[in-house]
Amino acid sequence: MLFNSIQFLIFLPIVVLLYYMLAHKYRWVLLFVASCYFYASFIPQYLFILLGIILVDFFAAKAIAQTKEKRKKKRYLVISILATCSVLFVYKYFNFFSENVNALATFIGWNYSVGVLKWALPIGLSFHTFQSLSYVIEVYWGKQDPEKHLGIYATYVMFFPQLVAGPIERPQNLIPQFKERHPLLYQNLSIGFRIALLGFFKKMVIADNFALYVNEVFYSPDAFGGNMALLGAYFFAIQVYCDFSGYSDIAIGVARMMGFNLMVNFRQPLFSTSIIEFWRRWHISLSTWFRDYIYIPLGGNRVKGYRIYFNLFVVFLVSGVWHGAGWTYIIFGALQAVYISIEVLLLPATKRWNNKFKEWGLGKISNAIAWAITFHFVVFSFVIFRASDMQNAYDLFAAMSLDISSFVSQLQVLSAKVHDANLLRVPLVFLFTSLVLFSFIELVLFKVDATQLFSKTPKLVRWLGYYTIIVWILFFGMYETAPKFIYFQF
Amino acid sequence: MSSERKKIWSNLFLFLVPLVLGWATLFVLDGRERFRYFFPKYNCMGHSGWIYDMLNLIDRPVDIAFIGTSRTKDNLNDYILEQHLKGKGIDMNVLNLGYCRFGRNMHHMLAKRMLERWDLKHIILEINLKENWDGHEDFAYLAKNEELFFPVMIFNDNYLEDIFKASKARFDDMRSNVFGVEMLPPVHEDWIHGHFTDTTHADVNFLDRLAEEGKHIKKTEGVARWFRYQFSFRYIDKTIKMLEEKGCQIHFLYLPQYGLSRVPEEYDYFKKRGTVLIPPDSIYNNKYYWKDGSHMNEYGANAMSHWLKNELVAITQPPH
Repeated sequence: MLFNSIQFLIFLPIVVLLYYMLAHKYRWVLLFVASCYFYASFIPQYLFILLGIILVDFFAAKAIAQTKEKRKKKRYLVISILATCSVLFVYKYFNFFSENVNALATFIGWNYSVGVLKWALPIGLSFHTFQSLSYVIEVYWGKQDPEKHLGIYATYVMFFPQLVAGPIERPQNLIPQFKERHPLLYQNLSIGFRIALLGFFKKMVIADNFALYVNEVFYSPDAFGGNMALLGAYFFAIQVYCDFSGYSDIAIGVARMMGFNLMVNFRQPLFSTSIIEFWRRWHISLSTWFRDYIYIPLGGNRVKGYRIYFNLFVVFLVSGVWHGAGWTYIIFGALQAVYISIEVLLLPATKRWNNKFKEWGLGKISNAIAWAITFHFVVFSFVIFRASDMQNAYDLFAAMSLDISSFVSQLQVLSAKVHDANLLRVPLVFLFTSLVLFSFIELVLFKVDATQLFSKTPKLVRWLGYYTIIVWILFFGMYETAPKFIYFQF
Repeated sequence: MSSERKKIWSNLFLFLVPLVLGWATLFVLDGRERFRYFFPKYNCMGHSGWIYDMLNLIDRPVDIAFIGTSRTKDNLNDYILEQHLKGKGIDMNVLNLGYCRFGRNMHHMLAKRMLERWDLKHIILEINLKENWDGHEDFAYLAKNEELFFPVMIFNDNYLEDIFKASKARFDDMRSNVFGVEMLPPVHEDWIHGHFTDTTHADVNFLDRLAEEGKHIKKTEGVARWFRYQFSFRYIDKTIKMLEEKGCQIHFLYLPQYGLSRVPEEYDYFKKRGTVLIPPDSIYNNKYYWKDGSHMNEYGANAMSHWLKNELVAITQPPH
């Protein structure tokens, strides 16, 4: 069930209403059943895989906690990690692995032929496996008591708002919330609604409309001229941000309506002035997951010499692989590692220059330059992320140098193509107005926390703001042939 | 009720009022009917758009009309039938208004529209092995407000879905106006017959398999029958009453898929209400005439129309 579907608009109020009608001790049952229903609405059979992972990790964590012997604890941890990761490997990476081994075997003349599996990837598998793993690791480290109640643990892994695309929660944050009493509060409903509404706006108005243009440009990079190739790259950066952060906002908002506080997953990353800052603002729940469970155990930045670069490479390569089984994702990850390594190397020099700019009263200019450089590096890497393969990415970069003389006429051709393929499409003027509105909201959110947004505004103005966004979504959003959330595939 | 709950309910109510009013405005303004007929553009190859033009814009009277599913549309060539009648000196125009998918609410609505426009003499309604128990999936787009909100049974499976669909169609009409996008094609004045199919042939093994499966289909009886068919029966009875008031005769034409019983399950029900026409085995059992398990190809349509033309001549004769 997609968040931006009529089914969800019916499902959500029913669940929220029942949640507050039920006594506290039964609420987890409702959330568990609702989550099962939510997940089963995609592919029902895959519910069993999820339940399997839950059972393995629940009992592994229990065994870890009950065992005094360190070696045994480790053994249980390894069993749990292997079991969870093997599911991930079979469903997500086996075909990629097999194809590459086959290609290599053909290259060296070795007789190897392993077929591919024709199984669909369970939606959001990487998200809930990582959430489950974080629990077992935390128990192993002694930072989290094992959960005694299987139902609550299952609900922690399956909590429907964040089940298929995060935020990837930590047990310390989420599990206790299932045990807390959440009274029905106007404030929670209001804040939750507000955050979710912004998420719907990002997803349905910005991401889904931009996707139409992005798809055309990436499908035939050299068809519309250099300006459009570049515009397609910019549009994708905005699309992927709005798509994913829109999902997170809806998840956070929906959870908040029931009194749950999920972690913030995005903090306006497109305004970052360095790649390091970008990764502190982009997909925070995943970045911190890698930081806590891979980077720091590898020694983090407290290592000597060039080891830090090795650690960075490992983390970002794994991050790339996490996103998908494909060379484009691996190169995307490697590219981030290169960016950050260069940034770390140049850190003393950039600090010096920043200070100088500030002394000269040009701090804002230095920030603007840093932002522009960061943004373009991010856009560059996102082209590889989005491309169907490396050839496609190369074609798009190559197309950027083609005829760059007439922006307007190229845009007209692209727009006409989008309109041909999709009968009722938002005209460009409204699309760019939406982009301006979105940028304004992002700028405000850069300074103000989303929960505080509109909180001090008079009710009438606040409600007018809500109505404007609702009407805007209805008029300019896509809900008939809207694409799925990009991050569902991970 | 605690003050917090009161606050929530009152705010929720107040917040929803403008949204509900906005939604109601869609139905008050109602938009362009032609837009709604063209809205389900991917269903039945956009045939509903042509149906609108035929019912409203194309200047041609109709005397005999066929209503039914895609089987009616495919299996009956209204041009051949009309030419035959004219050849026999019967100056009547024939129209095939078959539209893909089942749903008696759609048939009732189309009959009503035709009666509003033409002095219709005969309607031939398609019947199948079993009656369908729910409404037509495109009814919502084509229905007028009163037909949508007050169907024969409020408690039907499609009621809320239909209202949602109808809202969407009206809203999209408004959106297309805001966007300044003209999405409607021009009227084709010369397209005056509704039949179309193709010349492909169904796989013979597939037809055999269907026939085998058809032997095991159980009759719907008792409470199940009463419960399942209420929606359809009520619409059929309402249609018949409406036609009687206008002096239009109703006849039924049995068009099952290949390999099913040669008599409809509800034969007695239909027999009480009009003539039931059952195509002969020579046509129905001829595998060459089928393009798939449900529809006939052009050869089948020709054969069927040539059989039906004599039946039509018979039913158009005044009673002695």
